[in-house]
Amino acid sequence: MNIGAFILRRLILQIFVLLGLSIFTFLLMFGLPGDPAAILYSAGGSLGFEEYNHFREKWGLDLPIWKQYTNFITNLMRGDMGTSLVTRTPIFDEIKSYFPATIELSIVAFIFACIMGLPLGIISALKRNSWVDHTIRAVSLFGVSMPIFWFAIILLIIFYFYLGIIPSSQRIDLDMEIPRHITGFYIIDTIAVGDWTALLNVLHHLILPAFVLGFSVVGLLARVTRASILEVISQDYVRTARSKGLQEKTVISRHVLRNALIPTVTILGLLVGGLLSGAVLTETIFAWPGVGRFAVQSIMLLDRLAVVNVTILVGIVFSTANMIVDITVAFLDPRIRY
Amino acid sequence: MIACSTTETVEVIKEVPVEKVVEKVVEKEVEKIVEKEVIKEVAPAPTYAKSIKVRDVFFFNEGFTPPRGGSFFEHRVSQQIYEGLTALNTPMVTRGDEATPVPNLASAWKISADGTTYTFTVRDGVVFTTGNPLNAQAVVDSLKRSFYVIDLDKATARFSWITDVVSVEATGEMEVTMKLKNAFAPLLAILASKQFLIVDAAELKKHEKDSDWGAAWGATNSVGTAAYGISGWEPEQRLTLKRNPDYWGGHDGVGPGADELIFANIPENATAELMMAKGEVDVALQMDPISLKTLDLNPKVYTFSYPSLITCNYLIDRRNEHAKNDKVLEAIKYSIDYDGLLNTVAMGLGKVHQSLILPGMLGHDASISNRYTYDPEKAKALLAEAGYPDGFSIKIQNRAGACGSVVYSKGVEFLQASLKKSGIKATIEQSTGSKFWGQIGKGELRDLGISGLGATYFDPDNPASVRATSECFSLGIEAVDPTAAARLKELVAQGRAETDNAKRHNIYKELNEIMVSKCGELTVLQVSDTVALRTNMTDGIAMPHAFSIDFRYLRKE
Repeated sequence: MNIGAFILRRLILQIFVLLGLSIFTFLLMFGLPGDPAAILYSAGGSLGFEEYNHFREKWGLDLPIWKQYTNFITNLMRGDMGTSLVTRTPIFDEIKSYFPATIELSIVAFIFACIMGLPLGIISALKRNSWVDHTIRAVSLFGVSMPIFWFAIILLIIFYFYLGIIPSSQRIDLDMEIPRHITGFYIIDTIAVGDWTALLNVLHHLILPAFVLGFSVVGLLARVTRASILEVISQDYVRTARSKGLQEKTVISRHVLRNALIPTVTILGLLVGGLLSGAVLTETIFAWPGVGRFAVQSIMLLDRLAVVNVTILVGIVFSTANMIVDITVAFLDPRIRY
Repeated sequence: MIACSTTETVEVIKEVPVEKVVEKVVEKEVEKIVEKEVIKEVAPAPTYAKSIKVRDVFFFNEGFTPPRGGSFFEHRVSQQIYEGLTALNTPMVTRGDEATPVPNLASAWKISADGTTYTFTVRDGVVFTTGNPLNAQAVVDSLKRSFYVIDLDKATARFSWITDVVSVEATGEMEVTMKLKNAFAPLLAILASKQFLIVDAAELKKHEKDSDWGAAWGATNSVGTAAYGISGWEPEQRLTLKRNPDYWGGHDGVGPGADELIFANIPENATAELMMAKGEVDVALQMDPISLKTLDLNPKVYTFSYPSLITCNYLIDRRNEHAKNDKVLEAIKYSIDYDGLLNTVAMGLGKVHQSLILPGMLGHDASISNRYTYDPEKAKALLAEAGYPDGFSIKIQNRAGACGSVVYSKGVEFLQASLKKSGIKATIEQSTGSKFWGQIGKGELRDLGISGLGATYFDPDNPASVRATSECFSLGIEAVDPTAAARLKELVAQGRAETDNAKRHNIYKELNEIMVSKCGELTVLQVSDTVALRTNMTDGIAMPHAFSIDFRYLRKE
């Protein structure tokens, strides 16, 4: 099968995956105790009944679950994600407003994780059983096992409160004007208008949340890289390369890394999921107006359509990332064909 | 040297009383400041701070333009950008004095002898932030728009008085006449509440979509007359209000102290605590009790609490097989450890308050609102008299939610433990808001439950009409005591019709007495709001009806 057919097959399968995901999330949201109309109108007490019933009728909450689901899917096919029950705003607009913040944060965190995780894994493997290896493994273990929430607060206390070198929260200083929305990615938007002061400020604000989010997966990445390098380094072809008199640098870069990177690249696809789920906590602590916080608020207020749409979107990102990984692996290893 | 030393000694001795005098002066100064905060004699700010940054937690629901927007955040923002024909004297509300409405966008009014016709004189020289002048027609359009949107949202049941409005007309360039079918004394207080603040309805009409009279557009745009207008709204991130340069000065002559008010959405308390301690934000709202206690230890931060208009209540239907007996109802009231509930569950943020009418409202009487104390022995005796020497069993419905700092699940667990000491065996059953309110609506609730309710306008008619004629009846008062039920209805009607405050006080006092002794709604606490401020922020005045402080009073040094 050529790569084009492979991508097409994956895209078709993705539709079924997303359909299953939407049904599962829909059922799960309906399974939760509570009723969004009751949450919004219980403050009106017994006098809120008319509004409550009107609200349920207006938003189709009085319809059977299957009908609500088919309405949702039909509208989605037409590109209509529905309207948020809570904010009365089209969910598409909501997601369009929040998603760039999450993606921007996740990309920087991902870059950070790669820059840190890959070299640490390589060094750890090459210096196997030395103090360097032990230190890197300890740091990796710390990264994997440490709760994001706790780590973020500790870093805020040190770097924001005591040292004063990092901003506390949000995407840009409260004193600065929010960049004009072009893409919603503040880095791109500030570059587009040539506002370099704002760009620096935006980057400054990204450092700590991206570090915290990225560090949560650095450990995993370093450990997988280390393990796969150790496995490859003991292979016969590596010994052969060395015995041919190749320089160690060449052996490592050409023969070890290329083969060892296959499991690492595979794990990178899964890490995207880790970053997206970690973004929920990171966004809360750093007051980052991303889709993670929107999802949490939607869950709390039982804004079912919003939750299902966010879940589908995250599903699309996750499955696309894994498809890219599969394609990359095929390029890295010519033996792999789909 | 000796001489010098002697001299120094003498001087020191002389300095002692001087130091004491200085201390007294300082004490007096402090007293003055406190008094100033309460009486609101703050001079208009000659210069403006660049900005005041406020930590908040956004819950954006329907927006900032009246009558929509029910979240606390929307309430407090609305009160900064819109004004009513009348206003509440916020320091008096905070203090618990009887707070009667004062002129605001209406500079004066006349009420006909029968109480059915209100003639308002619209204040001259006021302009909307849109540039349009405030006049009688603008006021009429604004009120009619409020009625229209309330009807559109099917919320008329909560504002039933609007069905009594016969006409609202401009009877002069600067005169508005509102005619009602029946006398309605709470009107002046209601006109100060969020739903009836004055908006530039003509401007909103230009942005109409789906016959909503600009409600959707108004969600994030401001068309008011108050001290601030919206200059930037970034969902989930930041709301920036800019000082209205043409502000007329307000009913109390207090202009804003800053060019910008920036509300930052900082959901995590730990982050907000660090930002306050560091001085990145000047004011912190919605802090959790633990963070507030930590901030209180910071010399650069101070906190102040004020009673909110929210009460926490336990509910039981009087048709419950046990609670239909007055003695059992009374026994339940003596079984509740009010102080324990306040200090542990509410973390001290509030005060014990057992009636639906709040301090400062006509009809409030401390002997009614603090009648019951925790007395399990007395409860047991009452139960024995009622024929339950060994107590009885009952269910308590728990559900998600909170009333101020009282998380419902904790409040329910606390009630269970309290009742146990009087011999009442309560089991907790998980429920939902729709089930709970649904049962109340159908008159089918037979378990105990918990709720939190706030007042939307500061007049005893609010708790009286919402609770005495609705919830008390939904909770079965008519079935166990039809005489009391009928009297409640009479008193609510009398309270609405009576324009003499002294007489209204007595009417609501009697109504309150009946509600406390007969109604299945057992109010237990009036919760407090607490605000943290940096020490360079002064003159914070609480605005309980807006779930906030009045930011106009804030001065940043």
